[in-house]
Amino acid sequence: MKAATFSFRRWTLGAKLAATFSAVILLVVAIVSLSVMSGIRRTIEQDLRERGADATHNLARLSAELVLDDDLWGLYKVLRDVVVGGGDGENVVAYAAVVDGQGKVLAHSAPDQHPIGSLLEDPAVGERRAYRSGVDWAATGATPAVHHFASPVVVDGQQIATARVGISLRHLEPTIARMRRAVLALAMLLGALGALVGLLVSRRMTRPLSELGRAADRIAAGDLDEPSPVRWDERDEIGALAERFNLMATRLRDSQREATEAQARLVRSERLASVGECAGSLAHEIRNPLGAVVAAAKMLCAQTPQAETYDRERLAGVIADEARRLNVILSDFLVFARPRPPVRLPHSMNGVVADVIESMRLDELSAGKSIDARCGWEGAPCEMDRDQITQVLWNLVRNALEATPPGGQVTVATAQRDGSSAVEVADRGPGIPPDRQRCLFEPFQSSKRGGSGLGLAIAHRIVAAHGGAVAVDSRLGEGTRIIVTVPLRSAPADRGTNEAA
Amino acid sequence: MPVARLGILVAALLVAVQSAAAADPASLRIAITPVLVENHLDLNRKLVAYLGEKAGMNATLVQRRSYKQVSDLLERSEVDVAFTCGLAYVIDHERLGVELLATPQVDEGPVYHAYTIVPADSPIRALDGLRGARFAFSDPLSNSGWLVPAHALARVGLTPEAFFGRTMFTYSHAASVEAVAVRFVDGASVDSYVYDALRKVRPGLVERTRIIARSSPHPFPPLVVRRGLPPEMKDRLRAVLLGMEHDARGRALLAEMGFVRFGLIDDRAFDGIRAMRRVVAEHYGDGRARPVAPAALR
Repeated sequence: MKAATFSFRRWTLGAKLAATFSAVILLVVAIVSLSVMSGIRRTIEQDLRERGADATHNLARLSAELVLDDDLWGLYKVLRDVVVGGGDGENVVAYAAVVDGQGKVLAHSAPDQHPIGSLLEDPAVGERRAYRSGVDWAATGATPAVHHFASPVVVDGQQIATARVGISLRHLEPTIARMRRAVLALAMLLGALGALVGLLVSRRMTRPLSELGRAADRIAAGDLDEPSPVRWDERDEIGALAERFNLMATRLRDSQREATEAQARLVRSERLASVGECAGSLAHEIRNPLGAVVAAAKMLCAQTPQAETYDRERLAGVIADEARRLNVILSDFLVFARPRPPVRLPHSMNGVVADVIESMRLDELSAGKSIDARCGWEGAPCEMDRDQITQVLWNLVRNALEATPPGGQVTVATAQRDGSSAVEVADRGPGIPPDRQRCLFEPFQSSKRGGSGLGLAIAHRIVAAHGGAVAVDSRLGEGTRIIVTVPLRSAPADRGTNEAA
Repeated sequence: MPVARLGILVAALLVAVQSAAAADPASLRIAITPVLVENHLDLNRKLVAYLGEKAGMNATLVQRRSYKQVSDLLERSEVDVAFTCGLAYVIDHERLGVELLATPQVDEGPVYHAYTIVPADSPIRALDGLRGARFAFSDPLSNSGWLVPAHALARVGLTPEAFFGRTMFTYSHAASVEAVAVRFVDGASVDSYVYDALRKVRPGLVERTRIIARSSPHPFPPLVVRRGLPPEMKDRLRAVLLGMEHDARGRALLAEMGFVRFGLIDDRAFDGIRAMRRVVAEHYGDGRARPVAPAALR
């Protein structure tokens, strides 16, 4: 039952409709035929009783003279005629007999079973009831059921014999069975017809639904441009659904177009905003050193010839320093603004790290800080743009050194795992506040004085161009760990880009 | 006035002939009971039509159920000719003065037999086995269907009523055969001519019966005429009957009825029947079957 329900759920609409049509028709036919057949059975049974009573009555009338004449053969021929019937083929009389006052057979339609003189006993089953001047009792227990009728043979008001007739219902069952077969065949035919009609109707109804499904698939695949409305001219629910679907598709197309345009506008405005912001930041970064240069130059100009040489030299030094810083800012900015695609060649990451640490040895020593290099096992060289990665690591290590208090230590560790080369730069500085971690790699977000504000942004961009990633793990008061991961081998697309570049 | 005298004479003769030919001089009524050939109504009609045509008379067929009814018709002169049984002839000859007209002849001659038959699967092998049984006679005035078995019993001092358990009359040899076949009765005595004819017409019926006794030959049931039938009519009819075998249509009709020819027969041929009747009469007084009271009124 459950399986049937389950499978019914998985049926197509056509199968469901066909099955439902058939089932309803079969049910109706079954109910109607059952009631009709029971009515017919009652009618036939009543008709048989009428015929039985008539036959017995007539037999009693016909028998009188023959009994008087003791013409037993004549009596037998009458009984035989009663049993054979009117020749209409339907022999419903099971037996006919005439018995004398003692219930002994004068003649019986089955002489070999009931010879003359034998006692014809009453079938002791069924309820006796008076019926049309005779007696009728149904031997319902017998199979096939037989109705027995008896009627007196009367001459001059005196009963001289009794006419007996049995009406068999055995023809009733074949008749009913024949009708049942006919009804069954009709039900099958109607059921099949119902299934066919169901299939046709469902086919007609599911065609636009399939079309809707295909259209929905196209929309799901992102194909909103094709203007192919679902056609269903009938003004029924499916027609309304198709109409709404078409409306939905149109609106979806419009809203997607609007969204695309809005997106483009947003990108444009964001770019403009970003350019403005960038220009502002750049201007801000430039203004400080430029201000210092202008102030030093003014002081130089205002100084009398008596001014001490020391002062002049100091001011000139300031100008030179600030000019150099301006140069750094502009160089970094150019690098950031016009990034060069990496040219990746196999190099040892440990070697790059060693070179970077070596180049900074002087700085660390001067600040009383130390760098602890922990180079891990390197199974394979890493395909990288050596200059760019050197710049990334240099930026990171310098930042770490700057964040590290005097006497502190910066740890640089390398490792290879999962086809990538990783470099971790850790310091024990103050850590980065969480709100700043989010925009750590955006340009001009530097918190320290003296930088270009582009170091981490450039580092992020270079690593990203290598297909790698930069991760930050920083806790206030504990320090910061920055992990750079670069795939050992460039992705095919990257290589393609390299070749193209 | 010889011519006038002659004319008067002719007129007188005509009147005489007319009066002699009963009510309707042109009509001939022939009675046949179905005892002989049941279901042969068509054949009877053909025979009657043939006789009427050949004898130049307006012949009509009168069918009756029993020989008694035919005897009554002969007694009242309501029929002129009758196909009756040897016993009925013997009685009616004595009582009513009926006369023999002609008798059919079969291959064996103008004779037939009485068969005692039982159902084919009956264990009974002889007449003696039918003691207490249900037995069918064909007609109280039938020789083969009543007198022969009654005579056989009378010779041993019995009557049918005493010997059999239940007797009845079927008023037809064919019906007696059928009554045995369907086991309505345990036995019957029938005319050999009818039985043999039935064997051809209804073999299925005859197959269900078996002959346990065959009597000596008896004169075949004759055609008789009523007393007072004008002799020239009788002669004319006899001439037609005896001439049938020389006439193609007559021969065909004879063949259809299973006869070789019609021939003359002498009244003395029936002395055997008369003797049997006397034996039976010792038990019945008049040699006729006693009417049997209905069981219900006994």
